[in-house]
Amino acid sequence: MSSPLPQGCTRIRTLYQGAEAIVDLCEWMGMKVVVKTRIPKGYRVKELDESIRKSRTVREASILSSAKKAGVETPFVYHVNPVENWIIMSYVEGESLRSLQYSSAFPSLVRKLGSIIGMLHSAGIVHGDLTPANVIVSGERLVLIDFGLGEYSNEVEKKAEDIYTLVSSLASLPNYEALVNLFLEGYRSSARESPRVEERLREISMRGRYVERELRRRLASP
Amino acid sequence: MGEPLTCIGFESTAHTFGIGVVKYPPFQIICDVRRTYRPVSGGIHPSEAAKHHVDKALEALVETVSKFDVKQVDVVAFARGPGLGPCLRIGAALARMLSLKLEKPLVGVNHAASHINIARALTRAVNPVVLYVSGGNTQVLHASGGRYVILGETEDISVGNLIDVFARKAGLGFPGGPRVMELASKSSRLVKLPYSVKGMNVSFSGMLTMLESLVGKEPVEDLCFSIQETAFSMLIEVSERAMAMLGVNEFIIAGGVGANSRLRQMAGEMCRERNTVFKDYPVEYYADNGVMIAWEGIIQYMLGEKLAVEDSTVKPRWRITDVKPPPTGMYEN
Repeated sequence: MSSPLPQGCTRIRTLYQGAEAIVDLCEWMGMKVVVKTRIPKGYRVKELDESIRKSRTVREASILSSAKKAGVETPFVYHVNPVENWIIMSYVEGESLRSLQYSSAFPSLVRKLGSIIGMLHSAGIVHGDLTPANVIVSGERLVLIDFGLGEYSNEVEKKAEDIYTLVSSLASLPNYEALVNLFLEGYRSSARESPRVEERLREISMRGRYVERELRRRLASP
Repeated sequence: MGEPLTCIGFESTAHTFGIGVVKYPPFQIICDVRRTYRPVSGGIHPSEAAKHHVDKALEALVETVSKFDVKQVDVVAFARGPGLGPCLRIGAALARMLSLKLEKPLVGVNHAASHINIARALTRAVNPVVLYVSGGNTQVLHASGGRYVILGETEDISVGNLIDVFARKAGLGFPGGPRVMELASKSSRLVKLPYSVKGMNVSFSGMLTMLESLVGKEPVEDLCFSIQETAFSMLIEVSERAMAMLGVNEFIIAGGVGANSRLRQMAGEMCRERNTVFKDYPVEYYADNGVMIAWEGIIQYMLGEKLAVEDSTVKPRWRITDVKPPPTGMYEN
């Protein structure tokens, strides 16, 4: 399945096809760009489907820009169409943090990510799907991508959930505990409400909604 | 493949008292007897529902015995949880009695796993993502690596609870599902309600609060239509996300809310669009019944589960993540 692209875009290849959106690498006005298109869902009544896709497209574009104002690197938004529900944004050259998880630089990158998330949260933004696959390492810079589930929120719960998603995705790594500590160290260096968020993180890990017992135990021990 | 096993199952987790008999292999439903409690007013009162089950148990047992020779029973199963304590104890007491009388092993099974596995037996779904939706539950699940994994769930109330409480406030009676479905079919006007999807989780409490304030102000048909469209879209969206994430191409719905034809229609449409298969089955097996308990009894017995009568207390809060799914290949017969 492929989506109709914005005028003037030529598809180079499809990067990702998820449940709600298709992400294409394209050429547009002589640049390499990423086009994210939210596809219609036939199971939803049209009115509801259009309103959901529109509000999510607008929100995502807005969050991408707000995060940048808070000092967090994100792709540049070049163009948004809330009728056809696509966003054209800059293509970030680099490797995903996930692909570097066994490299020697990984621990220091995780610490740096912690301080970036601290800045994001202090600006009242949560990412919603914070995994190493959604972080691009581009030279010295870490760039956050895919704010499709992002929201504006100052709720401690949501911030803790963000961190919880990230630490869960690190759980299979051998130096897991050290990595979590590095992340939190970075987070503390820039987050305004770090103690409350960390307290909530411990609570969430005890709820055990998705986690295995082992992960719960490791997170709960100080 | 060993000798066929025959299991009798007792369901009494909530409003339905059911006795079912299943034989395997091959999978065969021998008997299905049900008695359902209907509250005079309000929702389920646990002690009244339990009293209903006590009153109807003998009648249901007599009906079962008239259709089937209980001496053929190899295993006696009962729904051990999750459910309402006073109700669970009725089925448990009968199962213990029968197990002792027939001198056959006793197995306590999980109600949620039973819903999922009767759906799998009836559809032959091999590796599905499951949307489990009932009066008390809303979860997206998948069985992998020898256990059930909850991929997403409600952060507050279940979708069945949303519908039942709304129906009560709107004076539609209990259970609300059938009436809401009927009235919804008379409208196509969408009233905007909160659409709350957070990753793979959903939340319905905001929608319920808003609905409560709209009862009496908007036509009830429009509200019924809007609940179905909004709440079910949320459920299908998280189910689709789970299928995309796991790369799974089969989808089933289990539990009483699955009896809603609009929900199943949406499921079919979602799967068609992504070239996957929604596997449907006869609507009477979406509701609580004894057959699913008997079938889960066979599965758990084959996995080596057995209970001594003195250890067979009910577990009203038993989570499905503590239960083993059936071995692969179970549904090929």
